[in-house]
Amino acid sequence: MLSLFAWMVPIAPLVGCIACSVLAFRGDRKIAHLPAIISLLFAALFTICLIVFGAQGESGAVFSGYRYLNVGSLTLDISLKVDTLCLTLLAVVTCISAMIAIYSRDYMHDDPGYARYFAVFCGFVFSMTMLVLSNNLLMLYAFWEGVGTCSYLLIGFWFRKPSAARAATKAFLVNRVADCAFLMGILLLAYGVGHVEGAEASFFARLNFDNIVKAVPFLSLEHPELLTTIGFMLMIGAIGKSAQFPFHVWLPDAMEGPTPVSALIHAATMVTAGVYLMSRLSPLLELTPAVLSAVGWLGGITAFIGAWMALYQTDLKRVLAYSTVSQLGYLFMALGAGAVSDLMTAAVVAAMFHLVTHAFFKALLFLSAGNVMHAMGDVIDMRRFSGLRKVLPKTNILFLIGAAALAGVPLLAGFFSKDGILSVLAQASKDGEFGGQFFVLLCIGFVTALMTAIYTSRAYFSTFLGAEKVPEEAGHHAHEATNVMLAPMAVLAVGAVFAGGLLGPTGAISSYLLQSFKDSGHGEHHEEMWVMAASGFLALAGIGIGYALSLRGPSTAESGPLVAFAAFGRNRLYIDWLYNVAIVAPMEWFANLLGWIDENVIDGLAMRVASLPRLFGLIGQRVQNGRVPGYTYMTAFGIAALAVWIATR
Amino acid sequence: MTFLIPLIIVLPLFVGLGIFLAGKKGDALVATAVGTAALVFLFSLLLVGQVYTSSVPEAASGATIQPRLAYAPDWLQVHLPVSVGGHQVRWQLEFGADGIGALMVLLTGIVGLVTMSLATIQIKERLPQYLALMLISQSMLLGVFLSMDLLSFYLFFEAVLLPLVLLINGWGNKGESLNASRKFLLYTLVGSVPMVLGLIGLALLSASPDRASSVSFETLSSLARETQLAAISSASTDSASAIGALASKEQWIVWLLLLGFGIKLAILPLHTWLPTTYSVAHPNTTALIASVVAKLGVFGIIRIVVPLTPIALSTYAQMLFGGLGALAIVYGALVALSQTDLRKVLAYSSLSHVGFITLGLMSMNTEGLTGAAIQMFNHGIITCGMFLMLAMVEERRGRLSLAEQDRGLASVYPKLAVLMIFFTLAGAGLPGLNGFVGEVLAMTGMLRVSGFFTGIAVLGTVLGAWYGLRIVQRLLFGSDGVSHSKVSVGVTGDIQINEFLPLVGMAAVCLFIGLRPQDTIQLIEKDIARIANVSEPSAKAIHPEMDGLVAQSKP
Repeated sequence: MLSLFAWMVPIAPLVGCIACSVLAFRGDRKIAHLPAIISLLFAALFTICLIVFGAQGESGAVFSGYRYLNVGSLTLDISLKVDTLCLTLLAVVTCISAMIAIYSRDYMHDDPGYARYFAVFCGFVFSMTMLVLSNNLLMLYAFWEGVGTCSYLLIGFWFRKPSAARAATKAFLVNRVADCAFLMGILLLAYGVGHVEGAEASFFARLNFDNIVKAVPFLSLEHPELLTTIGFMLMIGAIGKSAQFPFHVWLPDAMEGPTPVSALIHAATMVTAGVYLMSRLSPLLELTPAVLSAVGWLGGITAFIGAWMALYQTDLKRVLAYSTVSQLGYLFMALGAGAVSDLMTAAVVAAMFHLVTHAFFKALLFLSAGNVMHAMGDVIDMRRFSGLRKVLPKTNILFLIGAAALAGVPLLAGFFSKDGILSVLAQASKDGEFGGQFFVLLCIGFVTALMTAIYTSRAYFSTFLGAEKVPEEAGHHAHEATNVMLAPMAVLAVGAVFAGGLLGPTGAISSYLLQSFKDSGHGEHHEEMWVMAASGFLALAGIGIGYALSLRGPSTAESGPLVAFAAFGRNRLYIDWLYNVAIVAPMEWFANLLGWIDENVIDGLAMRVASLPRLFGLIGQRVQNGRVPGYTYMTAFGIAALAVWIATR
Repeated sequence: MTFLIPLIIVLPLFVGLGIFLAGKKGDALVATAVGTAALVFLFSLLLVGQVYTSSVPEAASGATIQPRLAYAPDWLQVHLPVSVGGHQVRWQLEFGADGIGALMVLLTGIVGLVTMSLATIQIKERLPQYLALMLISQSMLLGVFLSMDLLSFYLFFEAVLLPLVLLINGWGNKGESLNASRKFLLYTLVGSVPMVLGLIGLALLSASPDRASSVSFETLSSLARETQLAAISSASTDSASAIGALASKEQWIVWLLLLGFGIKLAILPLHTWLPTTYSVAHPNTTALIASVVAKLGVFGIIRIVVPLTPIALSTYAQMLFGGLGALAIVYGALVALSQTDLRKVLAYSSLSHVGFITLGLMSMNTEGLTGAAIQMFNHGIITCGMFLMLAMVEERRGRLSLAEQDRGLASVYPKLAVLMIFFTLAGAGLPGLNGFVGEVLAMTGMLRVSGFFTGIAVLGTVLGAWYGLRIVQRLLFGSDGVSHSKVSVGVTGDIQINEFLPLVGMAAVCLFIGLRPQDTIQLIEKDIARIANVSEPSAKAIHPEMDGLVAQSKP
């Protein structure tokens, strides 16, 4: 029964995907949302069933499927692993995707690619649920690429727009760079795990998570440097998908896709896959503190620069995109705290908690931005509209809730989960070895919290408050979104308000997640009251500053020492430019050089050699005189030579 | 059901020759030709079914190459008026199918049917003759995959060139085709001379005072297995001299054979016939060449070099060819990135993908060899689909330059675009599609030999996605597709059902192998296991430092 439930979670969206694809091919567009919404609701229902019936058992259950590969030392099964870690993310994915599918019904209504949209949407949910449920690392990688491909197809959904086509390619390639390190890590891990003492070389599913967890202690004793290499490789994969520095460049461009897609894939679910991977492999990473320390640094850098760039965006969706980058940086900072001994579980719990709450309020914010965009005739530049609270009264409230949760207003979801991360960092900063690092990261965390409050509140105030201004693209009928769009947003708003308070302080999420980490029981939440007070104060202060800034308009020129700061922020810190100049252009130049060499040097040389026989031919012309006796002599000579050669061997 | 083997080789040959002989009357025979291709496909399915279900017990000889379906009648005995070592030379020609051969037969069947059925749309002139030549090439290719002795292997291997040269010459680009076919012929002939010497050497080595020389793969491989394993086991007792002696004795054979096969598989730097040929021949012809003919070299290595001379192979050539394979992955992908001619992009991408096959072969262990064998099939299907779609695009738009961005063909030809994205992703090694299976197995195998080469190969996956998506972005995306002028020759709409179905069929194969590779691997796993039983210890004996972790943890 439970096995059926578990399998139905991915299969339901797969069926939806197939149904929508058929509709797309038949050109039948009107009803494409029905299979999608129904199948996603079913997936959510089955997930809830799994949680309610405690399908994870004592320490995770495995539901087998079929044998994928069994070659030599490589044994791979397609099977599902259900534990509380997986169920937590699964609930987020299925519930939010169902809500966003409902929202999309009206948002995408007039689009010629209506059925295609829902087909890829369901395909994404299928891949994502399979990713989360994977029982082995290569299967996870497979669906990791699967979600990447769906993301590619959805970013490039409006493929007629050159910018969308470029953004899609960029997202796929940046991810692929990270994924190639990930794949190398998987191959090395499979190789390493197969060779630990006691593991039979063959007939051993060496990439199953349980077996990895069993094998890594031996591996870290025998080949610590190999394990560290593996850890770094896997980390690169994780930070690529989760858009961490230096791979963050694809995420803001991904906003070229439809807004509901940005909400689901590029804010709530897919980009958290990296965090999930790190959490899933936390027993491995625990043994490689160097990797976790690097994770912490990268997370800190990303959190800060994401907030920095978000401060200077004028495009509402891009503000949210950079905010996502920054918040994901928070998650990685938290995971990094696992470098300190005994803090790994607490770090994972803190990261997962923020992941859950962030999914709610960021999806809500994106959908609100979608409403704004819908009403403003696809204009999303904050300089061109303001004072929309009368035009969009309900969206106004929903955006306010989301923004307040993101800014970390006390008692809303973001407040508790951000506080969780900061207190883990505070605890880590007391450590001897890594204390200095995590003290710095804690400071970054506080600064970023302030910046988050500033840009969020400024975006809210300049969009919804002030004098009413509507761009002409909106026409005369800038109107509130339909109820079908508002209803799922209301559900998300409830989550954004209550998820933090219900899950965090009550210890619900930590005790639930701890079932997956029964070996180390150090996940309890050490409340640090001063951290909570400080982050609450920073949130309110930030909102005040944001309000003050919004009065000056969203893009007034900065003065004094802030000029350079602003110029960097506006130009994405020149990182995209640097990549183009330092990586893409030289690669293309090198490719062209190779192409030239191939055509002129290698082929030219071969053709030069090929013309040599003509010289011999000139000599040969004398022999080829057309007289039969001459040929006969030559043939006889040849046979004699062959016979001599054979006889003498 | 052994009659399947002669039937599947002879049927397309006779029909092809018949169409030629019919001359002008042959024009009405288009349907016959396509029907023959369909029959051949059916037979190839039957053959695979036979091999899959056959319960022939393992031969007592322990031969590495054992056909599970054999055809060796007496009239195929060749009596040479020569005696070697006191024995009269009597060679029995044999045909038979093992798992690897059957897989390639299936590939040939699929590709033949698809290319020929699409040729009826894509080839505008002298269609019956075109089909006849395609059928003859198909027959020769099937002969290579089904031959079980050196002599018939060689005969078919060389014979396939003739119809191909005529195809390139007769239906390729006017003006360039003569040069290109000459280049193709020259290159392959340069390869075939050393190859025939190598094959003769193999036959001669099998002769000893108490045994006549043989050309049968089964006999040769059981002999080779004995000598190689004896050398390895003796090495552990006294010294490595036995291995060294064997290696130096067979070294020249390995180099000659690898030169021959290497040119066929377009190993760097002997690859330049490939882009020229692919860019000149009609894409429909190229589909056959790239998917099946380019696999002949790989097939030769896995059929002859690896099982028969593993020790000599692993002495030097393993690392050299492994490195060249890894290099080809990156090099091919980079050069593909620099090309603006779509045909050449696909040509170099083919070079890059074959690098994965070489990589798998040169790992010489179960994972790598399985990866190589399955990748031969997978790449055949993918590249065939790509070239056929290229033909469809060219039919509608003429030859397009990739230098121009944003053509937006996806809005005009949505079905073609979906299939093109599908095959591009399959080629880029997307998990769940077939390209991934072979690549990951090849890399797993190579990792046990050389982490460095594997690292290079993994980098190749990024570049592979880069040029693939570049095609998609520039050709399919970026505009509404109507602003660019049409150079078409009558066909302007999206692909029709008779163009759509063959491609969907191949896409289904891609998906099936990607989702359930084990079903296909079962077909070849016994054959691969027998090869690996010889090749893996050989490689290990030559490179004891290989598989470093095992050596460290188990002293």
